[in-house]
Amino acid sequence: MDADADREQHWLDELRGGDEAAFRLIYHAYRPRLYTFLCRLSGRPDVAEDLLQEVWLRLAAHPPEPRAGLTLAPWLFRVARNVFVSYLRNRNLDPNRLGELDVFKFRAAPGPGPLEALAERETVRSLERALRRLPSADRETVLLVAAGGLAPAEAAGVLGVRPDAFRQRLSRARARLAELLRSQE
Amino acid sequence: MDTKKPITDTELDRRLAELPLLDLPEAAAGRQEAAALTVLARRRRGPALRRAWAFTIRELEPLLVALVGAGYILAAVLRAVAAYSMAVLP
Repeated sequence: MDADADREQHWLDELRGGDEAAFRLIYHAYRPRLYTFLCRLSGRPDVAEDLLQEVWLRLAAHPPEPRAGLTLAPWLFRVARNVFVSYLRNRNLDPNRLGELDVFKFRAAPGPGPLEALAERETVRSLERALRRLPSADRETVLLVAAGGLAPAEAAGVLGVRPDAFRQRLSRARARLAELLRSQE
Repeated sequence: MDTKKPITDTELDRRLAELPLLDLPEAAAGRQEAAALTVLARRRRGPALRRAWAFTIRELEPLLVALVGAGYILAAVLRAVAAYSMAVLP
């Protein structure tokens, strides 16, 4: 186990005891990655904000029980993914058709939103477009690794598939993404 | 004829690495943190039922002790009266 994993285990131990400082450390370490993941997965900053709140409430109310092999990042991303899936299910939304339904249009905000402010460069805009056009399963596969920074084995755990199956899925998703990017250029 | 060059794995990795991290606006981040810390504090204090029970025991303990003591004394008195009655009365 490396130093980062040791440190996170310590945070989790403290959090189980109700320690606020441990929660704050986890919150600040993972907030941008989780928000980025949810933003790009849902395509809507307002939805991502609500879903992220749910992730933190679950962590505060029911931190993961200690067990062999448990690591914090995959647990957090699994919760984030589950709240997104529940959100879609509650609204009877098909994740693969969100683009057609215009759900992916970003809500106009009074000032520049986080996505708009950061998506200035054309390559980034092009990649954002391609990601939105990817099928939902492919999008989450790519995002878990790219935005979440998870290792393929960890991402496989988030999706509940075997690591070799995840690698195949990732390879297919990347090929589709590359094709979409090519077609946009 | 399609003249577009395919995007290589290296190129795709480069572009994905360029995707910026996003973050919540400061006010929203503060609200989320505060809401979660409230839940955490509630969990630390324990479930509502357990807290209610603890409060009841703490507040009513003297009264309960007095009631149990009084009941014990009353039972003893009644037992004595009954014994006396049986001994004295015809």
